[in-house]
Amino acid sequence: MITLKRVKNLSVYEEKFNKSWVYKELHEARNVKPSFSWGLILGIIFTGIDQILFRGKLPFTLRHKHADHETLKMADKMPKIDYPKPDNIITFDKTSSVYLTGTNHTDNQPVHLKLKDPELPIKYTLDKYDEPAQRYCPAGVYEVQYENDLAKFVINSQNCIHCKTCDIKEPSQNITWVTPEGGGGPKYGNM
Amino acid sequence: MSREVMEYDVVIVGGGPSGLSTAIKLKQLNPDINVCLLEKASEIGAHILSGNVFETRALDELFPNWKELNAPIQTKVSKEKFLFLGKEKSLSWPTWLLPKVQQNHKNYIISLANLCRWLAEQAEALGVEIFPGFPASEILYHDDGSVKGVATQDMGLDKEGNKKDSFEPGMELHAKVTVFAEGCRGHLGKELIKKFDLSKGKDPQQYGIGFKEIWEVNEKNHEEGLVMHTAGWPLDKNTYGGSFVYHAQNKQVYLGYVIGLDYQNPHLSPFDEFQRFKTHTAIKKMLEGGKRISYGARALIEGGLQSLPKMYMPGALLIGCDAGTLNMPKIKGSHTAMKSGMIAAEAIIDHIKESKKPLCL
Ligand SMILES: Cc1cc2nc3c(=O)[nH]c(=O)nc-3n(C[C@H](O)[C@H](O)[C@H](O)COP(=O)(O)OP(=O)(O)OC[C@H]3O[C@@H](n4cnc5c(N)ncnc54)[C@H](O)[C@@H]3O)c2cc1C
Ligand code: SF4
Repeated sequence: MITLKRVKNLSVYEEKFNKSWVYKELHEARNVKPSFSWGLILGIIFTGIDQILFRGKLPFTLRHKHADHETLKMADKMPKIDYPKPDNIITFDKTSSVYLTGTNHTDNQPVHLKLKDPELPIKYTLDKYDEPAQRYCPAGVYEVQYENDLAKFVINSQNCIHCKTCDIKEPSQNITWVTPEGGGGPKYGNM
Repeated sequence: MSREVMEYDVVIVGGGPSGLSTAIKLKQLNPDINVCLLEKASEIGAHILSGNVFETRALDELFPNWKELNAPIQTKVSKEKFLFLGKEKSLSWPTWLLPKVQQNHKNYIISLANLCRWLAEQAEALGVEIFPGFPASEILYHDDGSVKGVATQDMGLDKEGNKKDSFEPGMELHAKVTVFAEGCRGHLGKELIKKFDLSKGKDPQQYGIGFKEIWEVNEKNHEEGLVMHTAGWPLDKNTYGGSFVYHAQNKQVYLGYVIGLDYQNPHLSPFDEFQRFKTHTAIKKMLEGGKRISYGARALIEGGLQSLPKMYMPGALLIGCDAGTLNMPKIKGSHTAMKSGMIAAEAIIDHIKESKKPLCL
C-alpha cells in the first residue's frame, strides 16, 4: 500500500473536469433538453438555431424548472390512453418481456423497494394519479389488486430490473430503491 | 457478529464504464496503488443496458491500442437516418441538416455490456480487485463526517430482516478515497448529494426511462452500420422522447425508446408507448420475420450541466451518470462517463503527490 493520507479536499477533481473536453461538450449541449419543455415543434426550431447556427454558444442558459416527480397532473384531468393488445409477434406484454431479462432475487429476503408510508399508494396515489407505478415500472413490479372490493398495493420485488424509475417518478417520493442481496437483478447478455 | 474490515487506497462502487475507467487509469498512473471495485451484478456487464453508439474519444486516451487489444468494437456507423413519425406516414430529415451532435459517422455500434466485460479484464490484468455480486449498501463515515468507505449488503436475511441459517454479514471496505460510480440515480450517490448538499444552487435533476430490445432480423432487412433515430408518434407533442434503431453485427438490431420522466399524464405507460411504436409501418416491416431475443430498461440522467451536482466531498468523488455527465442531445453518456472516471483517477494521483508535501486542507 502506498502512503496516502486521508484525502480531505478533492476539489482538484472538479478543477480538472471543468478544463476538460467533457465540460466543453456538456456546455454546448446544455440548452437542448430544457427547450423541449416548450413542446416538440418549438424544441426542434430552437435546437436548430442553438446547435446548427450557434453551435451551443448562445449567451444564455435555459433552466430546468421541475423535478420529474412533480410533473404529473391529476388522473381525472388527463385523457386515458387506449393501448393496443400485444400480438406476441411484434409487440409483447410485460410478463414475457421481463422473462427475457433473466431477473431474479432469492425469495425470502427483505423487500428492496421501501415505502416511506405503506398506506400512501392506496390512500392517496391511487385516487389522485390512478397509481402510476402500475404503468411506469417497466417490469410490472407494482400492482393494485382487489380482494372483496378492497384495493391492495402489491410489490413483486423479485421482478425488479434495477432501472430506478420508481425512485425517480413516484409523485410523493414514497418509494426508495435499496440494494437487494448480492447477485440479484437482471442477467443481461450483450445489452 | 462484527463485520470484516478490508483497507484499500481507493474503493470504487460500480463496474460500469466510469468506475472501470477510474480503476484502470489509477493503475496505469501508479501500479502500487491498491484498488478494489464492487459490482452488484453477478458478473460485470450483467446490469449494463445501453444503446449503444459509442464515441471512442475517452477510450482512445485510455488505451490508444484498443484495436490490438481486441476491444469488442467492430461495427462502424456507415449510414444515418432521422425520421419524423406521423401516425401513418414518416418524413425523412436530411442528415446534413442535423446538428453536429447528432452525426455519428465516426462512431461505432457496440454492446456496452461487452465493452465493460473487456474493460474489467484489462483492469484485472493491471491488478484491480473486482468483486462482482457485492452491492455496496451503506456509506461509512469518519467521526469528522468525511466518507470512510462502504459496507456491502448482508446475505441471508429473511423478509422480516431476521437472520437465516445462511446469514453472512457484509464486509466493510475502508479507503482513503471512495469513488461512487453507480450510474443513473445511484442510491448511495443520492444519499451523498443530500447529506453534503451537493445540488445546492443547481437546477432539479432530469431523467428519462430507456427501453431496449435486441432483435434478430431477416437478412434482407438488415443493414450493418445503419443508425436511425425517430421523433414524433406515438408520443404526443408535449412528451419528450424518441427511438433509436441500431443495426449491429450478426443480423441484430438494437431497438429502443427513451421517454422523458417529466411526462404529465399519469395514464401514460412508457412500456406500452414503446410497444406501440414498433407497430408503425416504417418499423414493423423491418421486424417482420425477425425474433426478439432480449428486453430491458434503465433510467437515464438528462439534466446536464445545469443539474450537475458538486462532484467532490470529504473522502469521496461522484463520477459518470451517478453525478450526471450524460450528453442529452447526443444521447451519449459512455464516453463522458469514462472521461470523468479518468479525470477522477488523475485527481486522486495528483492528490497523493500533494499529500507527500505538508498537507494543507
Ligand atoms: C436506453 C439507453 C440508451 C443509451 N444509449 C447510449 C448510446 O448510444 N451511447 C452512449 O454513449 N451512451 C448511451 N447511453 C448512456 C450510457 O449507457 C451511460 O451514460 C453509461 O452507461 C454511464 O456509465 P456509468 O459507469 O456512469 O454507469 P452505469 O453504466 O449505469 O454503471 C453503473 C454500474 O454500477 C453498478 N452499481 C450500481 N449501484 C451499485 C452499488 N450500490 N453497489 C455495487 N454496484 C453498483 C451497476 O450494476 C452498474 O454495473 C444509453 C443509456 C440508456 C439507458
Ligand atoms: S427499479 Fe425499475 S424495475 Fe425495479 S421496481 Fe423500480 S421501476 Fe420497477
